[in-house]
Amino acid sequence: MNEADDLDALLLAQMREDFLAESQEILDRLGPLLVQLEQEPDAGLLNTIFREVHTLKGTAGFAGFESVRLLAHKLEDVFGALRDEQLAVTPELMDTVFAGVQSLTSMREDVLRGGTGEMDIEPLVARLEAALRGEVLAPAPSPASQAEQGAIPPPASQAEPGAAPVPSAVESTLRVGLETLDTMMELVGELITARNALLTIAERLQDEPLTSTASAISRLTRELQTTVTGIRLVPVERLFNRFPGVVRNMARQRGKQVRLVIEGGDTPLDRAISEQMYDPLVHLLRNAVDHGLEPTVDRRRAGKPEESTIRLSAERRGDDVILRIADDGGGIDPERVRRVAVERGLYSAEEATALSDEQAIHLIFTSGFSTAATVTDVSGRGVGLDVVKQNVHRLRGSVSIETAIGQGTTFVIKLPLTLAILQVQLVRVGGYTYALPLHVVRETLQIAPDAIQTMQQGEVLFVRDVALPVRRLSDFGIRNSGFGTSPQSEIRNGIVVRRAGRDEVLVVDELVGKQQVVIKPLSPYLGTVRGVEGSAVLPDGSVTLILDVEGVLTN
Amino acid sequence: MTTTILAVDDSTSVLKMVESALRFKGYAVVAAADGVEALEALERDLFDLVVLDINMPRMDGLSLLKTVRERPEWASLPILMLTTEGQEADRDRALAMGATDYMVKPFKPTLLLERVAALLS
Repeated sequence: MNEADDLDALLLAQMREDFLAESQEILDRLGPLLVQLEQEPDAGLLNTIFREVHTLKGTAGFAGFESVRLLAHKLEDVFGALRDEQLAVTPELMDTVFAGVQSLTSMREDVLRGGTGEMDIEPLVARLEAALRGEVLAPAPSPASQAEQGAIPPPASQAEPGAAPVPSAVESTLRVGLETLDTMMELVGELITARNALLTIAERLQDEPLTSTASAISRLTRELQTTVTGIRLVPVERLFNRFPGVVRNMARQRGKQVRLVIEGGDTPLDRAISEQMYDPLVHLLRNAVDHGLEPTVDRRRAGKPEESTIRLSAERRGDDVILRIADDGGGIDPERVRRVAVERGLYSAEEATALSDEQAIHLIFTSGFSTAATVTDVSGRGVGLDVVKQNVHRLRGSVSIETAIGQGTTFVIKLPLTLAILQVQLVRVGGYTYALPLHVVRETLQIAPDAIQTMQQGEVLFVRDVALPVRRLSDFGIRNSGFGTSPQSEIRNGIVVRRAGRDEVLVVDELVGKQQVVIKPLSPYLGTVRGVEGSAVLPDGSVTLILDVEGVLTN
Repeated sequence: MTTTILAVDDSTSVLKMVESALRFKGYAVVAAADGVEALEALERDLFDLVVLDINMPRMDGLSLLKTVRERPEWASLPILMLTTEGQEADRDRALAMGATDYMVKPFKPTLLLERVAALLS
C-alpha cells in the first residue's frame, strides 16, 4: 500500500463511523416528514425530503454501503418525480416508500452491529422502479411485516457511540465516550455522598469557616451534578420522531385515520431512559390505535371527527419528565374491565364489584389481561400492558391512566430526569433505617396510637374521611431477617403510597427525612432481593437499603 | 502564506472527510454547512478555492455560485463543484455558470487532493 491508499483508507474508515451518526439523524427526520407528506403534499416539503435522501445516498456511497446507496438512490428518484409532479402521492406508493425507509433503518442497524449493511432490496427497488414508470402499484405485499419492522427495538445504547448530540459548531465540540460519562456520573455520585457527610459534620462542629466551606462545596457539587446530568440529556424529540411512521403504518393496517400530534419535543431526557422508552411507547401507541380509538363508523355515529388524534407529549416537571399518550377514542369502561377480570378468573364477581372505578381501570396492567374482543395483528401478540408497566417501573417511573368514556384515554408516564441519583424518604423501622424512593411517596402522616381501626378486610386508617388499607413495614420480611420488630408503642408515622390505582398507608416507626442518594446495586452475590432496589451510603457513612415498595408489598 | 480553502457541504460526514483530507495536505480549511454560511465566510475571509456541494438547505450550491460569480472580486476564485450520480443536469448548469471544475461523489479523498492541487497551481 502506498501513502495515498493509506490516507484514503484512513479517511474512509472515519467516514463510515460518521455515516452511522449522520444516517440516523436523517432517518429520524424522514419519518415525520413522510407522514406530513402523505397528509399534505407540498413542493417545499418534497424538496426537503429529496435533499435528505440525496445526502444519505451520497454518504452511503462514500462509506461503501452499496444497498443503502442504491435504495436511497431509487427513493431520491421517486421524490424527484413527485416534486416535478410526474408522480402523485398515493397510499400504495407511500407504503413502498415507508417500507424503503424501514429497510434503510434495518441496514443501518446491521452496520451498527458490525454487519455489511447488505440486504435483499431487489423487490423494493423493483416496486419503486415500477412506480417511476408510472405503473399503478398493487397494495403492498405484506403490510403486517412492515408494521413488524416499524417496531424494531432500538439498538443497545452501548453499541452506538456515533450518535452523540449533534455538534452545532465543529470547532467547539468534543466527542466523549458514553462510558466516560457514566464514570463521571458515578464520581459525581460519590462526591454527593461525601458532600452529605461533610454537611453533617459541619453541622455538628458548628465551626464558622468549616460551615461556609462546606456550604460552598455543597453548592459547587450541585452545579457539577446539574452539568454532568445535562450532558447525558437528549431532547426527547429524537425518540418521538421515530413514531409518526410507526403510527401511520399501524393506522393504515387497522383502517383508521389517525393524526399523531407531537408536543414538547425539546424536553430533555436521559439518553439511556430515552432509548429504553421506545418499546413501551410503541406498545402504548399500538394500544391506542387498536383499542383506544373507535372504528370510524362508531366515531361518525358519535358525532366525532372521523380522523382520530393521538397526542404524544413531554413536559419537564422539576426532576421529573412527564410523558403523555392521549387518544380521543372511546375511553375505558370500568364495567367492561370488571367483567373481563371476572371472565379471566382474576377476581370473583363480588371482589370485582367492590373495586373502585379507578382500581378497575388499573386492572388492564395485570399480566395476561386484554379487553380487545379479538386478537389482532397490531396488538394481539400476547404482550400486555403489564410489560409496559414493568419497563417503566424498572426506569424508576410510574404509569397512570386518565380516562373518560366517549372522550378518550391518557396514559401518563412519570420518569426521573436521570437514573443514577435518587430522592428518597428515609424511615426507621425496628431500629433500622430504610430509604423509600420519593416518587412513590404521596404524603406523610402522623398516626395517633388509636387511629388505626380493624375492619373486616383488615386494618384501615381514615385519611380525610377515606378508609385506606394499612400495611406495616415491620410485617414484611426481606429474606428471613425481617425488617426488625417495632415496639408496640405510641405515635407512629405513615406514608401514603399509591399502588395499582389506590392509596395505601405504610406504617413506619419514624420519618427521618428526605435525602438525595446515589443508587448502588446490591453486591452481585446477594443476587436480586425482592423488595430491594439497591443500597445507598448515608451522610453518616452507614449503608441503607433502598426499598422497592411494589416488590415489598406484593411479597 | 497558507492556502485557505472553503469547504461547503450539508452532509456532516462528507464535510468532515473533505476537511480532514485538505488539512492533511496542510491547507487551512473553513467549513460551512450551506450556502448562507458559505457566503458569510466569503465576506469575512479571503479564500484560494471553494469546494462546493450542490444540494443544500437554505441556499444551494448553484445559487451560491451565481452570487459569487456576480461579484467582481470573486470572479476568478476557483470553485470545485461536488456532484452526485443523477445530477448531470445540475453539473452542466454549474459549469455553464462558471464553476471551474467538478467531481462526482463518491470519490477517493486523494483524488480530491490531486484535483485541488491542480486547480491551485
